[in-house]
Amino acid sequence: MTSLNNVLLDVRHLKKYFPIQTGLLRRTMGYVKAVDDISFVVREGETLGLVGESGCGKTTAGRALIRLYEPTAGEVWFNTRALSADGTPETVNLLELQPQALKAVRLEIAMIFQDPINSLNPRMTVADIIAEPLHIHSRYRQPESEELIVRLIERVGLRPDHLRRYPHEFSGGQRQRIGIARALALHPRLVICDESVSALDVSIRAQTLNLLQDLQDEFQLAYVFIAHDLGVVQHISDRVAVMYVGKMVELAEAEELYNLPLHPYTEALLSAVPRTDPGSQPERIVMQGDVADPANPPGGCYFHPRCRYAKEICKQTTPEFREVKPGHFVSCHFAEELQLRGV
Amino acid sequence: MSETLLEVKDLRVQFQVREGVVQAVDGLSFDLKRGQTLGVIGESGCGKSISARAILQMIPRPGKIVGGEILYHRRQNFNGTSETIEVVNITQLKPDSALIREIRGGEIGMIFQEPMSSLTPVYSAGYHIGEATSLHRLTPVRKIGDQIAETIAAHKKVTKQEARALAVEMLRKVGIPNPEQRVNSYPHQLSGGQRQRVMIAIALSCQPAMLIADEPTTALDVSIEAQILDLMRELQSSIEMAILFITHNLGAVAGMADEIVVMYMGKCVERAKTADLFRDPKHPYTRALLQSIPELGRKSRARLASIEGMVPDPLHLPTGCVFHPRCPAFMPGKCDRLAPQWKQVGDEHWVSCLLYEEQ
Repeated sequence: MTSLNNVLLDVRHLKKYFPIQTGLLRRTMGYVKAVDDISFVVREGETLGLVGESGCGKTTAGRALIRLYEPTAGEVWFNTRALSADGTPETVNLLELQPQALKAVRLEIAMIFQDPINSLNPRMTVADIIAEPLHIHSRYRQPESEELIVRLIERVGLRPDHLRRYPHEFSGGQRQRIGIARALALHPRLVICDESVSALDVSIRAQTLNLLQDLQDEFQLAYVFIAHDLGVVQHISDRVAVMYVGKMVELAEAEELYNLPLHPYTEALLSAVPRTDPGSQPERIVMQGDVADPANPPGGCYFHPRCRYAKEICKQTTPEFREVKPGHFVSCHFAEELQLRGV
Repeated sequence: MSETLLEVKDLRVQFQVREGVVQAVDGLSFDLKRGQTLGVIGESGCGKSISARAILQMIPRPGKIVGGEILYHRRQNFNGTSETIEVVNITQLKPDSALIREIRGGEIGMIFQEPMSSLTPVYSAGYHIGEATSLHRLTPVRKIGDQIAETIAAHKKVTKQEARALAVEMLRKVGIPNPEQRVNSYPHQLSGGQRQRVMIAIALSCQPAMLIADEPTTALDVSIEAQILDLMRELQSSIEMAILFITHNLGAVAGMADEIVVMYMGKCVERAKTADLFRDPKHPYTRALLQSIPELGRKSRARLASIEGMVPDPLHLPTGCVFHPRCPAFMPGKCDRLAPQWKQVGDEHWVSCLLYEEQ
């Protein structure tokens, strides 16, 4: 990994295995390798998109980053200003932090969830919901915090009189805005958006995406944007990572990844996205079969049973995740030889 | 090909709730020809699913059809050379009448969003599961083969063994590997894409004249979605079947439909051939909808055009054109007073907008 000055988050060989337990004694029969050795960096103020089909481990990866799931192995280096009194930046491994220090660092990391109704407490008013992170971190001060909450609710496009209402009184898009306001209450530097716009209607989704972009410019936020919609991810991301069965198969600048994909899985995914311009639909690459079972993945490259370019070596050897071009990482034995189609 | 199969005329569906009356479908009209695919697009709550259910007389309570006609042109004694067409007005049928039950599932098949999500675990293994249930959900505790065979047996005079053999045949048609063994699987043993294939197998098992597909791929991943859409197209051409394709995924509908109806707040705002609609949308709502999708291949990080505001409260609809509070082409004094009329603006292109009423 390149070590640049403005790296905010540096994830190295992150793994999260869930044990499969059976029987009376809960013996461990095997592991679901939900996240299996992924590495990437997120720079300050940039958006890293994380795409893949359901079950590929993208949500687990997002949660393991901030230890909502305790990772099995790996390192997560985060550049924090929260640990010293004067705000000098230092880089710490989140996985080795003691609970007190981890809590302090989490001031700078926020999360926006997919389902805006289940992630808001139905018995709290909007004002309490947005203030909760401030209380948890003992940052609530009268009257500054109240002013902050009013500013936040206006910033996300709601009105101050909404603050006294309860989540059920809002529509899906408005609830998602409340979730966004809560995430911003502590001035985070990194926001993990887990399918944050997937449940919204197209017009509301466009509003929310625009809002996320505006907030990013205003507060210099970095996003890890987890989604399955390739169009949305291309729209919002600077760089995009593609995951398949717990592994990262490709990572590159958004334009490059969409125009010149180097992994056959990326190519197939892109070709499958339905286009709205009739006639521009490329020939679809139909992947045979289903996504591999992460508890019992095939040998070699996990994608080989569905890959139309698979050769003998793909069944035997697991390809390495390597930098093929500057900034373009891919795990495929034939990345240099294949001529793949982009958008 | 050009023979009419279904005509919907000025359909109105109301929901009487405590706070008042919701006009879920308000004057919807369209017609569908044999073998044609009609797309219905719109955001959630616009009445697209309710319209589909009205066609099968399956509107959940307290909803009611309060006006309009649904004319279904039923083929009788079809033997290849001669046939008679009987026109049935579905709105006049009782939801539990023998005739609608024959049509539902037998002549008009239906597939819904991810079938597992609508499962209720309290349905036990029993043979008395009404066909309306087996029509739109898989029962968790029963083998899929039995569920397909039951639908066939309900609509055709065949023996159990024949129905089962047909079930295996259908599973093979929809591309399930090892259908002889899979016929004994339970729904939880299948993946999401495979379950949706089973639902398609059930819907198509009686060779319906029409298929209603309500968000059939919304819950599926893109690669599986592509497989399911291909499958639907393939089966459609093999048994001249009409499809009513309901979705909010504009990409999916572009590749499937011959013609598209755009709905907003229970009303049809625009109708056109697919190519015309995407190339030259007339209604401001359609335009905004098309511009608000981040399409592949567009420049990243540009701002999306978005529709301001929110879908209005169905209990307090705006006056005049229901879209006027969000409309970028709002004409004060006009759009908030006059209700737009249905107007033809091109070859098979209709729109309901005051912008086009002057010429």
